[in-house]
Amino acid sequence: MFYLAWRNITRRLGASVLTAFIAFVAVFMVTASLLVVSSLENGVRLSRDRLGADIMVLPAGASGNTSEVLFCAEPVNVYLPTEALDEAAAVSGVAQVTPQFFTQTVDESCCSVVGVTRIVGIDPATDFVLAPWIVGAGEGGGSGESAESAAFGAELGDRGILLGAAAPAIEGGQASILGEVFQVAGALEPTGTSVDETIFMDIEAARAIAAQSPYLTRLWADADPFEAVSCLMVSVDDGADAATVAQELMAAIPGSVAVRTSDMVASVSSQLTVIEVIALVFLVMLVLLAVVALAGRFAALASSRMGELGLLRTLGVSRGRVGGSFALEIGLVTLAAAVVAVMVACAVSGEVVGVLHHSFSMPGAVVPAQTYGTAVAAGLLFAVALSAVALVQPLVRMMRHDPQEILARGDLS
Amino acid sequence: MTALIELRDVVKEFRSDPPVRPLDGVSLAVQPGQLVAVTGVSGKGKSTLLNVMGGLLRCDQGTVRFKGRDMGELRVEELDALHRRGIGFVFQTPSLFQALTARENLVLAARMAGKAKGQGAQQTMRFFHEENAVDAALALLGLADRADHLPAELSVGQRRRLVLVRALLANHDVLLADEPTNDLDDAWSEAVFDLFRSFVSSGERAVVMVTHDLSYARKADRVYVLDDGVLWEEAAGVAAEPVRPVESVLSGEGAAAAVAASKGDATPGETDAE
Repeated sequence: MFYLAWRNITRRLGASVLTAFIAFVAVFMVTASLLVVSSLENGVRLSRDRLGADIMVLPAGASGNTSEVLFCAEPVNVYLPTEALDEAAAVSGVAQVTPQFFTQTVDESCCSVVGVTRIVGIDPATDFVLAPWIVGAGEGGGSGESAESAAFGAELGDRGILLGAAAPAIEGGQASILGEVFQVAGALEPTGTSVDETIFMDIEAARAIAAQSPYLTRLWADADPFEAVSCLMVSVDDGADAATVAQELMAAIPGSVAVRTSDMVASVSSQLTVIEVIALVFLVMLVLLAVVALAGRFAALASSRMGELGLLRTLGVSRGRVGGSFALEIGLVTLAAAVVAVMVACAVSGEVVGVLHHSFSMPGAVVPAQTYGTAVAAGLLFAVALSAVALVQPLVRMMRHDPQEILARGDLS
Repeated sequence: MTALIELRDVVKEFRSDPPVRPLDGVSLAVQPGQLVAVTGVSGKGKSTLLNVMGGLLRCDQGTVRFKGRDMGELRVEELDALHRRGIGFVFQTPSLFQALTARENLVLAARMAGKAKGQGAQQTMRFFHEENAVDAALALLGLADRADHLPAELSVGQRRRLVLVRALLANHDVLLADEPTNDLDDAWSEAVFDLFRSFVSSGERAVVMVTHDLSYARKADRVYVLDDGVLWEEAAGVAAEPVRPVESVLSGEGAAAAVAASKGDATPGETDAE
């Protein structure tokens, strides 16, 4: 029976491809949707859990781009003077403050990194945002001047770099960036924010690179990169009202804007909920459409094959095995399509998340292997369930009207 | 001797408006070693008779027995087993698996029959790989050079010969063939008839064939005429001379007229069932 099913698949290739295509589309959409939504949800969750800073202080000129700065690794080359650091630290309710310095986006044309990556300078001495998420530091680790932070600073040095979770891999642990050679000192856990797509280095090294960069030359006509910061990451004291602290920060630092990171995450989270609802509606419609389309396809196949199924019966093949042969053929085609569909879905979901991430400033996190496993299993289970539901009508018809009898009555040849 | 197939007072009616009753009290016995021909006007139930004999259609009244067992009492599984080893079919329209080559069609049928005959798995597998048997069977009806062709690549006549080879290869106890010489020229028709004769020559098997071709029908051991639901046997020894009963039926005069014309030369099949 397997041989017959296999031959029916391979020698009726057009019919098999049509059946497979319908199954492919349905399974792909379901699996890809699961992966994309999981990625976005994971991004929001990580953002919420791992933001580290309660408030971002940016130059007023960058105020329209706070989401992009937080979630999309878009460099904003507008700077605050370094005095802002002290002014922020003096604000009541501020527990910790650490500066960051955005250089520029780099790619293969200038550096040995693959793809496009943002280069950011950090101050290891005061950093509390990244230190907890260094691979191996442990969840919930380091806040403030922790042991991890100190060790991290020592390890980073002035020629070390730290790779975000989604930053390109560096071959050989050494990278050439804008003419300077850096050693990979470590990597970070996924955070769902721009941190994931960034290469971090010591703030002084970043300033030196920026000072020499021909792309940024015009910026330094009126400013000194060694006296500038791009943003301040601020954490507030327990019990302090972040909104109030943000207001006071803006008042204390002229030309700045202070944004509560939790507001940004909440905003994105609500956007994601809307996307999920829309996706769910489309998915339900798609599933119904797929069931109808496949049922129609299977029914048409069964009708066109009724003569052969009847012939099997006259050769003494039981009704169950005849139905089984048909179901086996359908199952093989659908399963093959489903396997391809889940593979393609896994391959392209990252791209889809990337588009949402950059086009709509959505957080996007690397999907854990377990989520891929779950989505693949769900896609394949969906394919099995879809086939089973769509096979009901043709099989019931076979049971009600034995093809052997139809053949014998001369209704089919 | 127990008949291979025995029909007694079989009635088959199709529900339509008005109802159609192609078999109305048909009795017939097919003995081992017999080559039986059934003829009659088109659309008068000859194929229905074969299907009822083969257990593909259930009769409404009467009994159909295979080797003494009432087929009406067989469970579906038993009927399936019967079709694997007991009764084979050649349908009026050559039915083949379109996705299988000529050789593969034969192998599949042989596989069914091989399993049914109780061969061990090893023996069965050996049989499948015994392509010589299949190739020899293909050569028998001039299909050796078409072995690897799909049915769609064969002519109607070649497809007809292929289903005949398939049926013979399965080696059933009874072969029910519906117009087996349709689409065949005289030479191949002769060859088919000779194969049927050879098939029954062991004295253990039988062939029942429905045919319009009186010249072949009359070469059979028994010749029956089906008309208006009634089966008549052309009397033994009468087949060659005179032939009026059968021909008068075929020309549309009807069974009653045929009987009257033959003045008793045609007798109901019931007598053969005794």
